[in-house]
Amino acid sequence: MDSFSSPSSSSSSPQMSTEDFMDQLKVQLAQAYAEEFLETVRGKCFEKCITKPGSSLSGGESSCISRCVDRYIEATGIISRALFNAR
Amino acid sequence: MGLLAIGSCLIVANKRTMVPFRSYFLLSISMDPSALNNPQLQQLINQEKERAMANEMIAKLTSACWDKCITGTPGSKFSSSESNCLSNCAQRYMDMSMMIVKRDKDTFHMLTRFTREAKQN
Repeated sequence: MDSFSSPSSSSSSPQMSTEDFMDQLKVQLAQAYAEEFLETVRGKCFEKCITKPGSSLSGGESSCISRCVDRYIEATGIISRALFNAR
Repeated sequence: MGLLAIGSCLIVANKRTMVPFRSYFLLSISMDPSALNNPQLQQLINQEKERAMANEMIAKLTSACWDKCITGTPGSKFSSSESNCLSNCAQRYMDMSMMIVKRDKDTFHMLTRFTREAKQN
């Protein structure tokens, strides 16, 4: 976890305000979340839709992928409602 | 100094994409001693930490429940059995979680005792 340790202080740059810091944090969290999500969706939809890879993506495979992404996003919503509403 | 150091950490951490990066990241930030001197910041970070952990749990569960419930090729909408399965899946997972902690709390105590003793040796 070396990357997470604080680098030795230096610099004459001005301090970041709390607000700027939190904005940056939220943006980076959102980016990281989006990357993770995309990686998961790629894995799932490849599994479901590309059963026998051919020399190009067929129309069936393309529409499957498109539906798969929609369904996965929908599934995320269903799960999150099931977890955080029905307590 | 603290905030600047954390800012640089942010830029580095962005290059990581491994699960569950967000939890480790937020935990490591909140353990930075200079962050602890700022209670307002600490509280904001803790809120983000909770949000990130909840999102991670949802992502993990969605991945697992998708595998269990969506057996065929994805359609243009979920059948009612599929969406019920997804919803049930999440709730049964929570039931299971609680059951494991309650029923096996003796096992847990044993485990924590062993790890503590192992650390001392």
